[in-house]
Amino acid sequence: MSETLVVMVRAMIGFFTLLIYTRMLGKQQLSQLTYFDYILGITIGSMAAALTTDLSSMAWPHWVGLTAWTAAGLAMQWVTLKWRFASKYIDGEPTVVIMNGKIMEGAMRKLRYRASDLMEQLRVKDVFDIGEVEFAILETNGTLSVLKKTQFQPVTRGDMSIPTHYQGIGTELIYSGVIFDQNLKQVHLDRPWLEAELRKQGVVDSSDVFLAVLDTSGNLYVDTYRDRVESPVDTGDFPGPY
Amino acid sequence: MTLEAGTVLKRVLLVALPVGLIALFIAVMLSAAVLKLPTGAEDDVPEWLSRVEKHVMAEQWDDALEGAKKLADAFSRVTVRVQFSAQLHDILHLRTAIARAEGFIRAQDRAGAIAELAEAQTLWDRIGSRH
Repeated sequence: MSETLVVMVRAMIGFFTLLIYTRMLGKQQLSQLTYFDYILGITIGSMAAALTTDLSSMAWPHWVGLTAWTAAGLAMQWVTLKWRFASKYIDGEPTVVIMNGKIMEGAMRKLRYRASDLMEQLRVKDVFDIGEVEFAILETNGTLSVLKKTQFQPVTRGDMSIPTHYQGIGTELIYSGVIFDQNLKQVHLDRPWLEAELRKQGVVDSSDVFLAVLDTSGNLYVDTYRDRVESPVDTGDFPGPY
Repeated sequence: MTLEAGTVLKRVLLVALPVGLIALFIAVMLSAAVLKLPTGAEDDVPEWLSRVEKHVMAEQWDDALEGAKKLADAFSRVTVRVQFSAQLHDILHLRTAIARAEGFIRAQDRAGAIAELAEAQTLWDRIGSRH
């Protein structure tokens, strides 16, 4: 019996099972996870680790545990999606901690949320004066959403009646020297146009391009592998190991 | 709306690949029950266990010793196949039980040898079993 080989095979089982199950559990970002989602992730991860290296037991019970927790997680997601009451009960509700400029001490006490926590999360939101806040809501994932009083909100182009132009998402046309024909077709352009644009920017060969993005105004941003920066900025505060 | 053949194939693959992988993993993890079955006389562990026990009961020590060696060899062959789905402890304990049985046979101790062979039988039954 080769322990190394057994661990390698079990690692492959754990790795790909985890990959498949996490894809099934959805695309929630880490910042959007509730506390329970976080615990769920840790538990599933530790079971996958035990499946890999705990040779004193069969792989099967660990794998069944992994599957059962994933199934329970999926069932919870389904229930909270279909049943609003369950969603509020399981995930909790956002809580208003500042309403019309007044701190809601009672709500904060229920959440065991301290004034220092509130001040810290306000600072993270670039609010250093609590008097600027009209509403602050503690979301179910623990982040704080802040609405400033109107007199402290930044002026927008709309406030100043300045005309604006449409701005959408840029389209990647080249990455790592590879031209994306599918994206070119999507913006109704072709390779000869792209090559002409590259020549205008002094690029002869598309394989020299690291990234080329077309914005919605028709401007092509091109970054080549050779950057030719004459006086690079050094952000280090000591000579460093390299 | 009709989908292109390539798109359909991609979608099928997207589902078939994870389902196939999961099925393969289950097969690997539960394979011991099938892979422990003998493919010939050389890896027939239950047969060698039974033969050694008979020789020990009849106090045919030379035949019993020869059988114990064959039993150890047969189990080594099976171990290669069942190692991914069996408990490490069961494999190691079974190997130890066979070695101890061999020791008792050398000492011509019938009770000790029979006890070790009985333990080896129990451990053998546990391999591939989920109880």
